[in-house]
Amino acid sequence: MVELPPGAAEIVADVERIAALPGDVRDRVPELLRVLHRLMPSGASMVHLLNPELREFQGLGGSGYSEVIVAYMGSSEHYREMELLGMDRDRPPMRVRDAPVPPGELRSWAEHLEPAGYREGIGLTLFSPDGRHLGLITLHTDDPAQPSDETRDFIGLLAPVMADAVDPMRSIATLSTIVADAEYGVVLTRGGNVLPLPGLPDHPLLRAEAPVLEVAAAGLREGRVHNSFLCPYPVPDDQGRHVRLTVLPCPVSAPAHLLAVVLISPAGDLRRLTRRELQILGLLVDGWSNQRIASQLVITQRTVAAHIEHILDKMDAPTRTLAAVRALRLGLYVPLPLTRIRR
Amino acid sequence: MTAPPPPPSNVLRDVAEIAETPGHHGQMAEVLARVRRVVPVQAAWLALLDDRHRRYTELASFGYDGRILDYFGTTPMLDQVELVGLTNSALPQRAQESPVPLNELPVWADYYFPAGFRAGMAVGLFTPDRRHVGVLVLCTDDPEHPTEAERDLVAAIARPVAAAVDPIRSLAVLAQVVRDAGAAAVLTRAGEARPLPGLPGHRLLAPDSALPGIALHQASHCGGSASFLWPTDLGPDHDDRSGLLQVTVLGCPTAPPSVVGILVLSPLPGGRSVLTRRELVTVGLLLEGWSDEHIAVGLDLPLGSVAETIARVVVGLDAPDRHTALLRAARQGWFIPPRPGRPPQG
Repeated sequence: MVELPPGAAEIVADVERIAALPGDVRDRVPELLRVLHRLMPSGASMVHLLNPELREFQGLGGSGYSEVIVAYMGSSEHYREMELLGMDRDRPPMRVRDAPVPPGELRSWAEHLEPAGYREGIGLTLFSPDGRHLGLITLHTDDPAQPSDETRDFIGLLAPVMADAVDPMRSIATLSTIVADAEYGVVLTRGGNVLPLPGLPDHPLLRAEAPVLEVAAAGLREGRVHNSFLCPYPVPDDQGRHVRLTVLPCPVSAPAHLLAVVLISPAGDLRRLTRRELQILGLLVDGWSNQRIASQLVITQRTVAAHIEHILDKMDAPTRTLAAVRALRLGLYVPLPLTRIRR
Repeated sequence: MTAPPPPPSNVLRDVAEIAETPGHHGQMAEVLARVRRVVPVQAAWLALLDDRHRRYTELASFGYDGRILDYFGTTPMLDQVELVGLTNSALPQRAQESPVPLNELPVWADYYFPAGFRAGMAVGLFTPDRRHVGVLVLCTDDPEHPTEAERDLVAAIARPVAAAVDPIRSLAVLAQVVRDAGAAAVLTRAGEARPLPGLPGHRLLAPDSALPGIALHQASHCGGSASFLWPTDLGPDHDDRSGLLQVTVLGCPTAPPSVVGILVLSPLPGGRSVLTRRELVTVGLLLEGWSDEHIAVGLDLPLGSVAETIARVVVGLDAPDRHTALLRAARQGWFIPPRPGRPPQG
């Protein structure tokens, strides 16, 4: 049983309130740190969000630390130090005096924090309920008696709610509401990797380096905010089956390494367009001539013209250009790189 | 105030988790189940404010009969919630704390008491920016409950519950996917732009602006989401490339039925468009299926002049032909759409 410091109930309520604030993580962080300052009068504090691709922390809401210290804390060397201390695992908060290695052997302490006048400090690891390492909160003080065992243990109790408050996936998961019936989804990183999207399972079409993700990334490079297209995904009793892909850039408040959310939903109304017609619409969207389409698909130009006749009819469009515009807007086409997808 | 015991952190987290996945009404029953775990009650009703119709809309409930539930959805119910002050204060109120005698409140005199309820509690739900979004009502047949401690516990969980029921929450996050979003609004099915918490409004989003209606029209032809340009002023200098904003509509089918999605305004990179206004208007008409001849009549220009404009568009967009140029413009949202039912301008 944890001993509760005075005002514990109010602090719990405040942290919970901050965690429930909508929108931007950057608005929640300074408020969280202010609450922690009430528990432990400290000279400096910062939230460090992990960039798992670079294995570095990105500082958020820092106050009190000098520029040099902030720069060091964002280095991969600092991350390795935290690994050495076991601060990359879900564990109780650690004060400087609890460290498993002598503080004098840590560059951050010996070269930065101690010379700056700090005498104690505490680090709190942040993990999501599904076990993702989100980062770290640090507080440092010139009072060697701070924080007490009781305060340290109480801060440990607050860790899950604080992790909720800074979890960047929270706002990203909200994006999946743009697709009513999204069944699968991932987060695409700038490095081309995929991360799980809380609340939705992943899908074989969404594995790293899959063609779908390359098409998604190309649309994002063009600056498209909302991009939707089809991908063939045949099943044994429906060889003509397609799924719908929707790509949305991550919110500006998300960590820089997260690029976009990619969602899979049922294809919806395909207007009786066949697999071949959806493929030709993809080429029309890219501006291909009938001649080029014929040679790509190894069919005659006359066959292409016949397909386009059917397409105009089904898209209710007077010209091939308007059929392509309509297909682009409704996401009723299969981009060329996805036409060869088989299971 | 008696300090409530800190709620066990798993309850906080449970409720916080619900708050992260807003908009799904099925989860609201889960909210009530979790509230019931910490406060023993026989009946509960969780409802969202429908300010347009001045009533509440049920999200979830248990324990009340159909007669009471029907009454809950009426304007007199909202009037009584207002009368006892719950639309102005986020503090929960137990029945015995009501500023109005219970037998003067029809909901108690004519509904709760006859149904056998003896005590209860209600709390107005507010977002962090103090908008009243709904109400949580709890009833017991035991006059000893809810206790003061239970009331204080409900005070602690009211905020995450409010966050869970607030349908506008997820829309505010959605607006952030647009880089440099300068202003944003909720776009309703009636073609109105309503304020979006946390983001500034704009003159073009005001009630007398034509933009929301045009945005609605564009979005409905584009599967819910659309992007186009719109002038901030009506001084039609045909060669002007400035004074334009990028308009993005993001459809949100999981939002409440009256909401289409959000409407976001953002500046153009460098403040200038690749195409002139005349060119953008022409592209907008071509994308709607207008022929060159119709455009010439619509814009009151010689046919040759329309052809020249289109030729400049093809060059300006670095495209090999008109087909590719139009698709490029549609992809980038580089066109000014015509107003439905009105002659084109520019």
